[in-house]
Amino acid sequence: MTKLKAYMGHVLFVDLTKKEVSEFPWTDEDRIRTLGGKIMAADILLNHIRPGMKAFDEDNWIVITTGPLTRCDSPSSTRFNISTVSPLTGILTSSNCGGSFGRRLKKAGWDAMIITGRAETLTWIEIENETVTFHDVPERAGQMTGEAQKGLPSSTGKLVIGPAGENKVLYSCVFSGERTAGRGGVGAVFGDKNIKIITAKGNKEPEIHDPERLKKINEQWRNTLLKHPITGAQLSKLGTAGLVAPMQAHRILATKNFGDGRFESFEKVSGEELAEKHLIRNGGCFSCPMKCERRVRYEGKNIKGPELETLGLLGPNLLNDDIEKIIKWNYELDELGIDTISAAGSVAFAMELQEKGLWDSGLHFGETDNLSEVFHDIAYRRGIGAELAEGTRRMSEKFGGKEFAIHAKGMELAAYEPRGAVGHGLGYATSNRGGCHLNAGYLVVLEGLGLNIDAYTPKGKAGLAVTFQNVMEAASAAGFCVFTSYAILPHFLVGKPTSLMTRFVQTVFKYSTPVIYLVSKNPKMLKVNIPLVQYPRVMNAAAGTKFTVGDFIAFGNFGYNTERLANIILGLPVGEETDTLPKRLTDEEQVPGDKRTKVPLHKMKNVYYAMRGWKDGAPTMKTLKKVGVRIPECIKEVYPYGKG
Amino acid sequence: MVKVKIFGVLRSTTGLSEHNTSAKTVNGIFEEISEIMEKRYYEDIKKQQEDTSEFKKERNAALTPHKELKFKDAIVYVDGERCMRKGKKLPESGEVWLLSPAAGG
Repeated sequence: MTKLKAYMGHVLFVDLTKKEVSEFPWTDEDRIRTLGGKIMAADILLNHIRPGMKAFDEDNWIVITTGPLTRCDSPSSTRFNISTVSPLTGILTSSNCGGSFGRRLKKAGWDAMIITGRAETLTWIEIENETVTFHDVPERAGQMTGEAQKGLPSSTGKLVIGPAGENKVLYSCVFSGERTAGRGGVGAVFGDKNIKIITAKGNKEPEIHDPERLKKINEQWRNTLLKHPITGAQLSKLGTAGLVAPMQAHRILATKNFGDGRFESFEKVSGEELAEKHLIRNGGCFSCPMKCERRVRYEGKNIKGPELETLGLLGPNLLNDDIEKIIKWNYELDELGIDTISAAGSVAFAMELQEKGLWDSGLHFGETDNLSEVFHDIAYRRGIGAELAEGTRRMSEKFGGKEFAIHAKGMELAAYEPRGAVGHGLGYATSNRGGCHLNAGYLVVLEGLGLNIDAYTPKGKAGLAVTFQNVMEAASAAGFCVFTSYAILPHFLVGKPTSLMTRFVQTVFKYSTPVIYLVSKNPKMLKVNIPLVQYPRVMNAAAGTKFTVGDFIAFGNFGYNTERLANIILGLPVGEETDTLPKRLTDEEQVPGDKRTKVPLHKMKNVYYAMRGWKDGAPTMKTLKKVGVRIPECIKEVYPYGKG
Repeated sequence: MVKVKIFGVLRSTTGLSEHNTSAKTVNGIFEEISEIMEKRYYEDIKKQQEDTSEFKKERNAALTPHKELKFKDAIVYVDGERCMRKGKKLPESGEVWLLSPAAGG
């Protein structure tokens, strides 16, 4: 039971081996300590994992968490999270999704569910309020993600995997409707445990502390999001695909396996092309005013269109300018249950291996007619697909080419070429789940796309990376879409890039390190709530807490340290190899002769570690204690800085 | 002639994707585009036979596609290089990109 509102107060524990369920102990103290979502999951996993634990070990847990606001109808707050040990990276992954499952899980009375063990046959876990039923569904083996969701009870939240998950492709996804928990290979862990489907339904609702106040704040925030140039205009009119053109301009559009930041035919794969020739309408997650989804037509069907990452990585990064192919591949990859980012990154790497004579895969830049077949081969691990299904890092260990194997911690990078936005490069390198643009803190929104601060200087970037990583971590944990965090940037700045005020702020950011250092060490000193940062205000109205902006940032800091410690226990190396990027990005100039156009990672990383209170990429004991991380016993076996 | 390409919300709202210009400066381009938009507006209005008070309101809406976005705030690239000074002289021929000032996702 919980005295806090907004939460349901219960966590479901499922043992697949024994086909037993129980309630996992989780108190209000735990809720206040971890907030929810990915931070809650990281805390649970930190105290479960052991050194050497692997993704496909039977005792690896899948932790599915909602945020306290997941069913509170705040703008863009329908998100839920799946965390586990990743088969792709070997460390923690947290994969966020906007589908209906989280809302339905809460309606069934559960804030979260933990799954352990392995079923003997392909299984559907059906949750209806307190009742959990295990169904053997061998007849559903091989079903695509769309088909797997058919024939299930109505008004349920659904999670399914496709053939790629069943075949344990290391970057396979979990689907809820057409929404994806895409990154890190959570689908493969489902597949390993023989989970094909999870459904949830119920008849409960979370209590709200102050419904009238919540309604008022929700309305204010909805208006803020709708009036903002990014969340209210670009995302709804062009979706994330609208970034292709600005990325081209700013030289951050990953091209030819991150060999360049510009693509001559970028207009053919742009958001404008998608909107003008293929868009049926826009759509989006429940309660979201941004509606960034693109509905497009494919073979007479109304389907989900490609996002920016998919357009960029299946387009310029493969030297492909045929948007119709991308729409088709996006649909096929979704049906197979494969992460488009990692699949495209792996194919681009294979193309460069071919070009350099390191692996004869038959894949060539600009020759993409056979890619549908290749993606199916990945899903079923056939032919070259068996190698591609292992991801870029493993291929580079087998075939060579580590210097141009575009990944961080084993996860393929998103479509932003960081040599044109060096702070974003720091984010990729330090991100706890690997080469993810959002977990990285998304500094590119400051370095070109939004605020236009100097994209090439390392000055001030460490502080901004720490701050934005913390804010996005906490926003995600509460149940919000991290896109809402763009609205923190006032539109009188991001909407007017050449105004005197914006130029002043751009300059100030370069010299902001001392101030951000102070705040990052003591985030709770910010004992205020301001309209631009609505998260704590919504939380307080919904749950009855008394959080400030500082408390919220502190949650993010706690989450980031918790995840980092878990990663070290799972084998993340500590020292020079901790937070790295491939040499192409750190040692080769993107624009030959222009020394600014490579990521000065070492320089930024040292400041970053100082701000985090880390040494060589590991939180010191002093930091862990100060931040409040629960320190597990097994730390003695692996932790190099015990005395801090 | 310089080819002007318009991207992002500025394009999706106004429907203007390309424009050939002999303007000498970026500011000159903005003035030309404003005139085009205004002319379009009046043509539309003429067809609709709306009253004048509505004209003004709608013209403003057309020229400022999103409340906070205006052409004069566009990010400008001239032949692939960022142009910070709107008074800067344009080359005889080439390509200018006008991008909406903010994007993310």
